[in-house]
Amino acid sequence: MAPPHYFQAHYYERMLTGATTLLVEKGVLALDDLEQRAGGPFPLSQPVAGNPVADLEAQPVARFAVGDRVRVKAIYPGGHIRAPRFCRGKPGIVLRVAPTFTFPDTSAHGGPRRKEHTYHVEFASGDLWDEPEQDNNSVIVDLWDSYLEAAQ
Amino acid sequence: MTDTKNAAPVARRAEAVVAALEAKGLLSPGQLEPLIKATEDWKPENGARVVAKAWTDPAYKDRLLQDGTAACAELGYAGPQGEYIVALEDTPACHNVIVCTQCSCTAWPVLGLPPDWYKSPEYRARVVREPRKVLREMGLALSEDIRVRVWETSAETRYMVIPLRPAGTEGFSEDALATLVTRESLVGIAYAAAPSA
Repeated sequence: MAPPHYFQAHYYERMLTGATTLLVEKGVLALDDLEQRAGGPFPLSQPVAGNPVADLEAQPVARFAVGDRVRVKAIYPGGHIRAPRFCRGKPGIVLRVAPTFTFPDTSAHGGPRRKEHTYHVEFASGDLWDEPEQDNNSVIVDLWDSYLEAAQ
Repeated sequence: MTDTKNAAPVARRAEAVVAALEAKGLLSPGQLEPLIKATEDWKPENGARVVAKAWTDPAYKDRLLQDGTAACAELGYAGPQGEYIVALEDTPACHNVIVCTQCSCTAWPVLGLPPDWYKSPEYRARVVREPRKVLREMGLALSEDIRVRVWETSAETRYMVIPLRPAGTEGFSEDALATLVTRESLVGIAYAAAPSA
């Protein structure tokens, strides 16, 4: 969505805009028909930027275990990614190995529905922020296998 | 450039999509009704029952911590956005709080649909960075020795917090305990309510 539209849109307007954009992009519904029915313009999401998906090897088998030190890859693709920016490039420790779930970066852009384990990775606040609020805070992020690499 | 200023009202746009899908035969009239009705069954009172049972039944609490999905399903709470539920137990030394920084995912079957404050950019951006300040502003003051763990719902795990059982509730029934567990305490921005005197 255009940033000004995104920030002033209500939560469900974003859901509506995303779903409708897909329906129009895939040719299921026609925009002029929708605008006629709605009685006015129906703003949709803009096309996805170039290089929407980072080139990450599929990881069907869990590579990490509880207690492992890992680092989130510092990748910045133009499309959908579910590794929050604040933890990219940062080291953390695996607290739990979760079941496999569809890797969203590829499936969001029409790619294969590959499944990978996710991990609950704990990051010390001091590793995430320059001026942490307090040393004994931490953030646990749920991350797909191919976002991670082994850390020292 | 997208014309957002003159856009049709969002309700009209939503109705237009439904009408267009129905005209194409992709949606039958009334097909959405069961789904809309189901959302009424997803409510924090369900999570409150789970917590009250965990407070009074140690074996259940063990099962809940081992396999949250199965333990919630034991009480009939399962469904979309509840495929992999993990329960987080508060202790006097460690407080848990849940956020979804990129969206607003919650464990629907036990927490219900997310409240507006949970979806606000302010809560999502700030609670990972300065959880104590945010919690204090929301009415929960934590002492400095309490460790704060912020759980980010960035993938498919759906969390619920088991708050501390309030003092003075010894001998309370599960039903009475469940009334003390609020949605806010299930997310971790508040303690469970104190029993009224």
